[in-house]
Formats: sequence, structure tokens, C-alpha cells
Amino acid sequence: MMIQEQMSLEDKLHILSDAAKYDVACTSSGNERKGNGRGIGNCISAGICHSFSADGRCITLLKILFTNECVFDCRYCINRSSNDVPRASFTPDEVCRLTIEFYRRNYIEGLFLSSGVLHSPDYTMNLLCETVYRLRRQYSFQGYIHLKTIPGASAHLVEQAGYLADRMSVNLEFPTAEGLKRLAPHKSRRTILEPMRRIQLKSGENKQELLVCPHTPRFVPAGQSTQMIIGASGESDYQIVSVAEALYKKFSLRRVFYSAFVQVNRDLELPSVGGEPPFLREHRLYQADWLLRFYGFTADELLSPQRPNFNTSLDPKCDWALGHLEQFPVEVNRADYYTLLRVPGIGNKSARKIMGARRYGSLDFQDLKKMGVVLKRAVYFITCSGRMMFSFKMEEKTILEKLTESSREGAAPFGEPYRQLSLFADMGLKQE
Amino acid sequence: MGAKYVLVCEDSIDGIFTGVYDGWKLGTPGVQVELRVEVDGQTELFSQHLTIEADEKKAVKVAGTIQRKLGQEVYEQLCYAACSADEQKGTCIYYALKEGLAGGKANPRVLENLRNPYILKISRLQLAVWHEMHRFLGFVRFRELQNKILFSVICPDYAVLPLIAPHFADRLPGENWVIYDEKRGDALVHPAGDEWYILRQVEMKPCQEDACGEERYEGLWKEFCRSIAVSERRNQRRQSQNLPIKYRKHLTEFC
Repeated sequence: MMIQEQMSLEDKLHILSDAAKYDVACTSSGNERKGNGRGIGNCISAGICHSFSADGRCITLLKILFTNECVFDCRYCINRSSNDVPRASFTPDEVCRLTIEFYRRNYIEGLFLSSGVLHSPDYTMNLLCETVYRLRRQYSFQGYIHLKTIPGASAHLVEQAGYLADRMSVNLEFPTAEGLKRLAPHKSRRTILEPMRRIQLKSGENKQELLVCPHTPRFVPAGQSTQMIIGASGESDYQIVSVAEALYKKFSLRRVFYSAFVQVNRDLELPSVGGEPPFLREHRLYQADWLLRFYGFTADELLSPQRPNFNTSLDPKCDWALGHLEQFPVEVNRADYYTLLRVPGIGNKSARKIMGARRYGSLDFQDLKKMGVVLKRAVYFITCSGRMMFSFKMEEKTILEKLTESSREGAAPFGEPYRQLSLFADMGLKQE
Repeated sequence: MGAKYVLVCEDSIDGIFTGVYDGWKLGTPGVQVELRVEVDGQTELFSQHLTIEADEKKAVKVAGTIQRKLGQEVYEQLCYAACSADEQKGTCIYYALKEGLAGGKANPRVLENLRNPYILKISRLQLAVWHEMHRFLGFVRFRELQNKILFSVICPDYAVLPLIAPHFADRLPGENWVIYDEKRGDALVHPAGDEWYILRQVEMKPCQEDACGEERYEGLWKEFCRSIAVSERRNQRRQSQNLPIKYRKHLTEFC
């Protein structure tokens, strides 16, 4: 272990932002708060991206660990106690000053504060609370704060934190209790789900209080989120999506994040991943997550124990539609909002545009195109005033061929598919 | 062919709304009205050109009518469209309003009628402007000058200053700050604890020495942006999609 007497702020920031980067939750959305006219900061509910890092992900919050010293020894984590990495800790005041100075320059939307477990969960949670308290009271900061719950922290500390933060999160890490036990021996389902439940209940109470008395301090107004690691514990997509669904329904989570497992430690318990982390799988899970949250799909519609993983070559909605051709084609000029949403290629915006525009007269394919509705996939599943765009056989095999062909060549799916001319077949020449 | 009036307006929300006000009486059935913001457009034969001076009173009246009869949302969308860079934006706004108030009946859902080409265009324009406006809520970078003024230069495609002003005024009420649009030469000025205003056609260029001492936080910020990226996930294409090169010129972390 490296021990340094006086570490510069630059070094600390380097170590503690580097150590925080594997947490994927990076949103500043979910809460709208006007500035108070005196202090500094506000929140807007859509969230704001301030920059994009070299991995293409949005930078919105100053995402740091308070300390990367940790008594836990989670197998997958770079900061586990058995790793020999440089360790550093901020002081509460350093975190506050960095946040304020970055915020004034419009570098960031707020603070994302997580931490390794220093001494004990309660000791660490206390430090986090103190830091955020100072930021809110002493610096009168009204910007966004995302605070991590330390698994195993006492209830009163979690509650205290909830009145200071906009969003709180505790990472579920693995969809199965068995995976968690094996790979994160110091964490348990109980120490993760308990604070989650507590925050949920408290939020519910707070909403009731706010109805009666609108000036009550708000408790975790942007809700809770969590994160699961994908591809480290041998879980199936079906397990992941089912767990995510349960979290949304039973724990009222706002967001579940998925993080393709990136190998940072050599460990016998971990799969030795050759090549790339499972990014495509992660992508499919996010697509499915959207279907759960905004499109009215359930986990059981998308996957089943018999078919536990997503199709890699088709997005989950297309995949579902191909399996349910009896529900298609959908008539654009009559279908209700939720039926339109089930058409591959039609999202919230397109569906709303269609609903609005068809009040003024029936729409044809040209209208849809002009309005910016993406027809690439939708053409196989819709009719305009009873007509399809072109004729094809309404069966799974034909449509699948057309869909994969158009995505492969990036060409329009209309009419004859493009193909390379063959000198012999097309020109009537005979091969010797 | 019926009569046609071409109204040449100032390129601002007020300018276009003034044009709408003056054009309203002229636009009787069978008469075409065009609102043009480009001054040096070609003069057409058989059409009458009128130059319209922006008039705040008239603009406020038009804005009030839109808000009252068609609602806040329609008003905002038309303002966004008015900040776009399209030559026909004024004409589109004019005809969208004619449609929305046709026959003396106000239709607050008029902008949903995307089969109308003027409204379709407004829908596209306002979306593009909204998108850029939203980007600039994040892509403004202030540098603290020696006199504690926070100064920022941006180079947006559209005239977003009046659109982002309320956000920054709410966020940094106790600071003196300036956001300078170098493309148009407009400066959004916010004196601490006071109302914001826009100066048109000014030249601003703070010299490098004015912001000495900024290197510390700029250095920390650059370090943060570097170390927060996960190298295994490196994806420059996605970075460029989300943050086009044209916006990077004034972003500290790319300088």
C-alpha cells in the first residue's frame, strides 16, 4: 500500500474519480427545483449533460468516491481490501469546494458521492452525510446530489441522508442472492434491500405529508436507482429483467442500470472473459428496460424460462412483434396509443405525433415519413387506411429476412433489395 | 394571381411578432403574406415589399394573444421556431397562427396538425432549436476573470441566448456573469442579484491574463474528464454523436 503524507487535490481527484467510474448511474434527472434566489444552483427534471467522456458516456455529475479505502473484499471491485492500489480520502470541505467551484463554471450539474467502506458502514455513512449537509447548509447548494447508501448503514443515517440528497441508490450488484454471496462476501441481500425498502416507505410518507403541508422538506425527490453487473455471475437475461421488473413494481425504483462486467481483478470466482465485455447484451437489457418502463411490457412477455436470453441480432421489441404477428398489422389511423407503442420503430414521440395529426385527417405513408416517423422497421407492422406500404408475405420468416437484411446493408427495405450484380447469373454468361 | 406582400422583419422574436401584427390586416383571403428576415433577398416582381421596424408594444400584444388563446406551450414552440436560422420561419409562424385562430375560433392544439406544411416546418424548427438550447444548458463554460466576473463564449447555430437566460439567472443569482455569442456578437449579461439583459452587436474579447488563476480548476476538470472514462469502453463514435466537434471549440476539457 502506498502511504503519502500530503496528497495534492489533483492526485486525490485522479484516484477517487478513477475509482468511481465503474458506477454507471450518471443522470441528473427526476427532480425539478428552482433556485432559492440566494444560494447557488437549481435542478431541471430532464437532467443536463455537461460533457461526454472518451467512452461516449455523459458527464453530468462530479462522480467521486469519498474514499477508496475499504474493509469489504468484493471480488469484482477494484477497491477491494485485498487489492494493492493507491488509496486516498477527501475531507468534507474538499468535496464541497470542488463541487461549488465546478458548478459555478458550469462544468457539472451536481455531485455524485459514493465511497468505499472506511472502518464501518456507519462511520462512512456519517462522513457522507456530514459532507452533503455542509454543501446544502454552509454553501447553500441547490443543485443535484446523488448519494450512495452504504450497505449495512443504520436506518437513522439513511433517513438523514434522504433529506439532503435528490436521489439515493444502493447497488444490487447481482440478480441472484447466490451470486452476491459468492462474489461480494461482505454484502448480503438483506443489507441492500433493507435500506431500499426504508427509503421507499419514507418517500411514501413524505408524499402524504407534502399533500397536507407543501413546505415539508422533501425526501429523496428524484427517487432511488440501482445497478446490476452483467455477465459476471452466470445469470440469464430473463433473471435480470424479472428482477428489474420486481424492483420497479415492488420497490418503486426510478431506474435500474446495467453494467457490462469489465474485468479489473484476476479471481478464480470470476469468469475469465476473453475479449470484449458483453456490451451488446447490456444494450439489449437497456432496450428491454425501456419497454418495461414506458411501453407497458412485462418481463414475461419478453422472455421466459424456456427462452431465457435476448436475440442478439434483433431488438427486444422487434423480436416480440415477430412472435406475435397475430396482433399485426396495426392500423395507424385507428389504433390506440398503447397499441401504436407496440409497433417496432414507433416510440413515444412518434405515437404522440400520430395521435395528434390524425385528428386532422387520415394519414398515409408519405405523411408519416414527413412527420419523421421512422418506417424502416414499422412498415412491416402497420397499415395506413387499410393499405400496406408494399406487398409481402405476413410471416415471421419473410419479415425477419427483410429486417436483418436492411440492418445489415443499411439500405432501404422498400422494393427490390439491393444485391451485387453477378456477371454470370445476371448477364446470362455461362461459367466454363 | 392574387396580391402578395413581403414584410421584411428584424431577425428576433420581437421582430417576427411585429411582422405578424402588421401582416395580420393585410392577409385577407386571396392575399399572400410573406415574412422575411433576410434583408438582402431578391425583390420579386408583382409583390409589395414593406420594411417592418421591430416594435416591442406590438410584439407584446401578439405574444399575449398567443398565450391567452393558444396557450403557453404553443407560445414557447413558436418562440423556439423564431430563434431558428430558417428564412421562412416568419412566414410559417404567420400561417400557423392564421390556422390556429381561423374563423375566430382558437385551437390550442393547432401545432399537432402536421399535415399542414407550415406547421410541419415549425415542428421541425422548434425541435432543432430546443435541442440546441438544451445542449447549451450544459455546454457553457465559465472562466472566472480577475474581477470575479464569470465569462463564457459560445458559438451556437441558433440564437439561443434569450432561451437559456432564465435558466442561468435562476441557477447563479448571486454572480456577475456574461455569456457571449461570438457568432452574432450578442452578449447576455447578468449583474449579481439583478435582472439579465442582452446587448446586441458588441465585441468582447477578454485577454488570457484576465483569467489567470483559472488553470487550477481547469486542470482539475480536465483531469476529472480523463479519469472518469472507462478505457475498456472507449467509443469515439458515440462521443462525437453526443458531442459534435463543432461544439468543442469553447469547451475547457477539449482545449
